[in-house]
Amino acid sequence: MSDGELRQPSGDFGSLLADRWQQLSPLVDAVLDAQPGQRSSVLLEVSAGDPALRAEVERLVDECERGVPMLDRPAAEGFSQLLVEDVDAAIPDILGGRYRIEREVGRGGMARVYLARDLKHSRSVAVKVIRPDLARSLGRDRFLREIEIAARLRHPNIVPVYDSGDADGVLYFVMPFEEGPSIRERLRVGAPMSPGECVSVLRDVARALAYAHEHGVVHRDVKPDNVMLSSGAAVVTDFGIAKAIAAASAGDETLRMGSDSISIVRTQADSLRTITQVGVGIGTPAYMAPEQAAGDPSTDHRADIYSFGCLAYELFAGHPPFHDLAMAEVVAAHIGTAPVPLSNLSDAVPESVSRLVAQCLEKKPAARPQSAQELLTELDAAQTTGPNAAIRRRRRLPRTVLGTSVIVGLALIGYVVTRDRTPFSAMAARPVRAVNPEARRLYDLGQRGLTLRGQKLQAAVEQFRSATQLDTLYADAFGGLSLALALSPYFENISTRQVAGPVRSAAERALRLDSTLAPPHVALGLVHQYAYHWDSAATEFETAVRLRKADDIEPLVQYGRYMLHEGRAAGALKQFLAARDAEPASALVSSWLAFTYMLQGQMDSAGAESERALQNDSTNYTALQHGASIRVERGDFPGARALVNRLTSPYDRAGLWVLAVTGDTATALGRLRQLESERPTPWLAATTRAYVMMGVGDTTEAMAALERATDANEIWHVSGSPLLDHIFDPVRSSARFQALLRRVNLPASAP
Amino acid sequence: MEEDTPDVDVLRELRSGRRDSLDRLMPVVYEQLRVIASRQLTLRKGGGTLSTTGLIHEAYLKLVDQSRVAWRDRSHFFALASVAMRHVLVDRARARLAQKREGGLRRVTLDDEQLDADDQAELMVDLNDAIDKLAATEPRLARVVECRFFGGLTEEETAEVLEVTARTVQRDWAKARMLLRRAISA
Repeated sequence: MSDGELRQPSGDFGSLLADRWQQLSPLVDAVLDAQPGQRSSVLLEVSAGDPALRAEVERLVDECERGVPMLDRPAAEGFSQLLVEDVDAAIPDILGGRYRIEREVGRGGMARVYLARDLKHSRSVAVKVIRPDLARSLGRDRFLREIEIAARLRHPNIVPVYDSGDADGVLYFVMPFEEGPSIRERLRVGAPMSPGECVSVLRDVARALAYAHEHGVVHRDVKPDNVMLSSGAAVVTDFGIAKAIAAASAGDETLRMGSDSISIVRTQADSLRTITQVGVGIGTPAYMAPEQAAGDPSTDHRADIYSFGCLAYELFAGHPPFHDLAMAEVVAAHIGTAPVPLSNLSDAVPESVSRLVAQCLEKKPAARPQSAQELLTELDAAQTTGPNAAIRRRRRLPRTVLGTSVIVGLALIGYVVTRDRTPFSAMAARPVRAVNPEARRLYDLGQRGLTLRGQKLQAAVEQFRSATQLDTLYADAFGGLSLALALSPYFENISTRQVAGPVRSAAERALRLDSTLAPPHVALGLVHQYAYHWDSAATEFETAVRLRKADDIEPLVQYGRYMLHEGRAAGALKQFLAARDAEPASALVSSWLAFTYMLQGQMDSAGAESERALQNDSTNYTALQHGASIRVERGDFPGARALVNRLTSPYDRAGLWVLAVTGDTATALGRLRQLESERPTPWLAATTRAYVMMGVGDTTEAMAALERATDANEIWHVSGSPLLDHIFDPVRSSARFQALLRRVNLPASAP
Repeated sequence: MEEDTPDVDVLRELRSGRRDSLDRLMPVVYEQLRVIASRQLTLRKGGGTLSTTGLIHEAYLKLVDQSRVAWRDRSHFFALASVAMRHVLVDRARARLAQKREGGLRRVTLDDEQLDADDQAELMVDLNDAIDKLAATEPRLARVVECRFFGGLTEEETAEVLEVTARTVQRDWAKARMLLRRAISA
């Protein structure tokens, strides 16, 4: 930072002297803090009738409120040029006394590529210069030693390394200049590659891998960009470079300089540098084997086999196995998600190739083909086992142009015999990954809040949200977040309109990370209910029930509630009983069971179940709400009020109904007025008024309130059960109520 | 968590203005930010702009996951990352100026918008000096600049870091911008 050796800070701000500012600062504060309409009077007051002072303060205030272009954006944005490496400046005209740089022809994650003239042999070459920021952190000797090993490779399908060197800190290596195109470019432009063309490329790549692996060299970055088409054959470039960088950065010194505290990164240094710091250079996320992504030090040649699988996948499908995802999500998918089988995506993929690709993409290295030689054998067999001998013969002809293999490819289409149509959601493996421990702790807390409901729900939202921020790949936390958000309009001063978007994005994020989760479907079902889309809600709840884990009762509870809203008490009871089997001690489940028994007139069962709920958890919000209703129904008014008094919210609509209907109308009306006097009017205020008015017997006013509630999209239609709830008995058959039922897409009466 | 993780109360250190122990963590955060920024820009082929929030967020995730530092919480980290970001940018600006220019500098101000890399370097060094100046008279305002400008933190996040209200942050930031502009255009 600035040490100011020459310029001692004067403390002055241009013409504004520091001392003067000290005097003016409180005056400026006062004006800045004033309400917009009060500005001029405050200005007059602070300047105490001194017009010069007034003008000075006013000018400073104006300047405070004026935008400052270079400060109004965060520094890394406005000053982003500073973060770009200045590569060109560091490259001399002639490298190593031998290569005259002509022009830059490409840029990758780890190197820039220059067309250069090899002055010694009078030929054009490609000089690849390692990015300076990367080069700085590499062990140079180690890097050059590794490159030397790669330079020994001699194979028709491998682009050789001619030379390498360190020119005053500029690390480079030299290769023949391949005009290309690369497979990446080939995929981007021109006609789609035929299956035959694809198989031909794959055989060439497999040959290159087999030869290199036999010579102890792994690639570590097999991808379409690194396979070039040259005179009809595919040649693999940059062999051993990624490995050299990985090896040389493992011994990196910059992270360990001096201070002891730097050791905190040492334990993870290798994986950290391999997957993140070197980033797109070493292993490209879209093509990276799980063990490589996880930074497993035992990563071997079988990582190349996996990347080969990704390359093959892209050739046939047009995209790698995991795409359209954020980089971190791609990495997570490599580790924990099964790809959609190729045969689901394209009819043109030979069955045997599709199977081979699936094997290459196995998560465990031991489950993949163990050598590139095996790949080659399989790819050959893809043709020799075919029904058409003529093709086999033709295949053996020397291949000079791509056209030859196109003919082969057309015939190969006939090889498709069966196709696996297993849907992706059923195929997806559950991600197995280490969750950040703090995120896990927050998630567990969130789950508890979710179960308790009431005012704990807001805390649960925050806990889930923090967990997702700590661990952006934590599918369960996103799922929990979606559910807690979806439930919050019942308990918090937050409207369904406010939560719908966040619920959807959290649910979608969760499902993208793990398509087998149930909670996001529950959350989506709730949002559909809020919008009166009952059929869509049913679909989500049914999916959730199907996917739910054995101890997850939420899908059953919400599906049961859905049935109650539709007036189907018997179906609801079935769901709640299933939930009871899953979680016998759940107060939430007992409460809903009790409520349903009450709707069915089985008051003894209702009473017993309600007491059970309260015994299991005397603070559970739902247990208190339903317990009070049941006690009212049984004539136990003091008991009902005792439960209401334990509700954490004094304005709870069911609670106020209980107070009103048991005769304490003064308290009920008083609290209602308090609630309604808040500005802006709280969410569910109209619904609460309807409940209180029902309780005091003013059905006209209750109906008016319900109509206002419907206008405001309040969720009275799912708060209780409009078709069954005793609260609505006095108005149920009225035309006004029936009209409301139609507005929320509910039938006129219970089935 | 490991037993010997440095448990530095960054917030307290920041508020007190003492940065000894904070400096022990700085290289780690610095390195991480530098690498992420460089990689993000590489992905954009050297152009475009960075999302500071995304940058710092990514650094946070990596360091929380991988460094095993006992970060108290997010604001703990954000506070440190904001300072680290200032270091990164100022160091890069100095390096560029040292490498590039012999003289004949164009005068650059905070009101300019189209700045090339050398202009940005020039302005960043001036700005850094101006913030030091600001810190001499109004230390809290300088912290607000670090959080809002270098760290890309919101008013609320800055308020949490500095233990003041968001309204105070808003006022401080307005005053700081005014003072910095005056200091630099002088």
